[in-house]
Amino acid sequence: MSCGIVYPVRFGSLLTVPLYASRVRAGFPSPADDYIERGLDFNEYLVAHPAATFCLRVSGDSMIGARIFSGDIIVVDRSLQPRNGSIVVAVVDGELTVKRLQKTADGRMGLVSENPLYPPVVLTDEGGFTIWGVVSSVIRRMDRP
Amino acid sequence: MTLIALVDCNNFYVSCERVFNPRLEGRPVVVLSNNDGCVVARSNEAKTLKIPAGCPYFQCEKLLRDNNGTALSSNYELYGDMSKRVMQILAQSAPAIEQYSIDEAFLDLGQCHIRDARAYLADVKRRVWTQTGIPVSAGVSLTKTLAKVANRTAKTSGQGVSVLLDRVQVDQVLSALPVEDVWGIGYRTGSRLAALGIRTALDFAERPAAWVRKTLGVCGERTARELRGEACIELADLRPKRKSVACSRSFGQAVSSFSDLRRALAGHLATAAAKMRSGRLAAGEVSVYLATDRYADGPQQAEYVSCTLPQESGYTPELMQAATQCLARLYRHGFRYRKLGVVLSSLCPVDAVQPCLFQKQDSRKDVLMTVMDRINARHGRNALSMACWIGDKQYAMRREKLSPRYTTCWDEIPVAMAVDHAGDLR
Repeated sequence: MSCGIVYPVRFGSLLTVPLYASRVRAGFPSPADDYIERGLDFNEYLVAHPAATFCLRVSGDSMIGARIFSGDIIVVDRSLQPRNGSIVVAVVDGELTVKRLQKTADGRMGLVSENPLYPPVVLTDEGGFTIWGVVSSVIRRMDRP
Repeated sequence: MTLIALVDCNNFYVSCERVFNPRLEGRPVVVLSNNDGCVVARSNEAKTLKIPAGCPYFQCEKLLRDNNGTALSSNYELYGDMSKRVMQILAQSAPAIEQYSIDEAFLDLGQCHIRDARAYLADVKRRVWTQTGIPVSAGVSLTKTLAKVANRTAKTSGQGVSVLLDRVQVDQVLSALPVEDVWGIGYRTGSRLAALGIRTALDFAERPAAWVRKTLGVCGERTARELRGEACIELADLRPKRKSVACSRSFGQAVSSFSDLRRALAGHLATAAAKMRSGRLAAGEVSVYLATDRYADGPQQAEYVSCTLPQESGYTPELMQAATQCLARLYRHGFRYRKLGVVLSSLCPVDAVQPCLFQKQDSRKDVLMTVMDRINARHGRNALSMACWIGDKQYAMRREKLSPRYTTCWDEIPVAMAVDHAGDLR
């Protein structure tokens, strides 16, 4: 697998950490100083609406078809409009549950799991669920369980 | 024309808990104060059960249990974070806002050319609700005091939004509002006014300005004028300049020994002093407050003692010396103490401290405190503390029914279930 360009990556808020390449007091400044970029900020990449964004941890394997695994952190943006096909967190029986939102044959909205091992079960809005928020990304660390 | 809205969160602490624990929906829920002592927030269901605000937990424990209710410890990390989110959304909704408390803010809509104030507020309400899950109520009127009244109407009417702009309508609402419920009046002034035959907010608003000023002073007069629609209190005008810094806690269990109290005092003092220094202030007076459990048997005491410093100081060891003297004067052998507090007052900016003739100036004190505050800011509050205070768990707050820090701690974020409910679906 080709990795292409490797970008330098920096954590934390951009505004609080000034970035200087060189701290030369005497002599010539580094010629690269004028070209310093901000680096990459994961907050900027993952969080479009900070006030509406929450992180949840996934428990269970019913969404592995959507490449969401047990232990993953899902980023939920409550300001996004849920659409047909969105991965959502919904409240089902008083529990926060991750599902795919899907229009059923009769035009109503339903929730489906995504695991090829299980038969698809559709939960329609008639059965009573509310959408808590729309999943905007998934975070998974590979170096620890 | 001025146009000021007051937006506040409904049963804020309970609502925060419900966002992440939907099982609490529809049931009586209360949130308890520090050490799980008293009820500080109630869901509507708990209000229906007539559990009063401030009710000691042991008095409503059974009632809650019998009604499938729940009590929770205060989760300040969660409430603080949710408050920040709500305020952020409100700040996006108006050119100027003044956060008035953890769960309410005034919005200045004067410059917004809003044609339909009701629709505007309904939209703010909807946005806070979808983005954070917190229900809010919003009232708008001509002044801050009237916005408070409108907000109250929004709550009682059950609509969550109220617009009070028309004079006739305002008078009608004020005529039904007890005067002590007016913002800035309060119970004591209210009873004084009632004795003079002034019972409703309208009675009060209709008194001549000169009379009000003579009876209640300029603040009272300002309130009366605000009720008549004349904006006198500017946004953020009220945010008080810090007059004192306090830290007080209840003990998880009763404390009787002087050395234990002294140790706890040192911890409280360190917290208050750091808070004070962060505002570049120094204290001229130290007070200590000590109280027994008023619901327990045994001798009772609830007193405070103050001590004036020879010179304003921000140096923790000096402040601690004064505080220890106060404690020694309060302390009585054999009493079972439940609450201890320290107040730093007569504050003045560090740069304005008058050097004292009889005391040697030592700039190393300032440097030491600065270093200590910096280390604690980086490595956690009690990373560095005075030797007389060793962070002893015994004095830590009791929060037995604490919910997870859902939004501020990676190990405690909520769980989203990914399991099939094959059984109960259809």
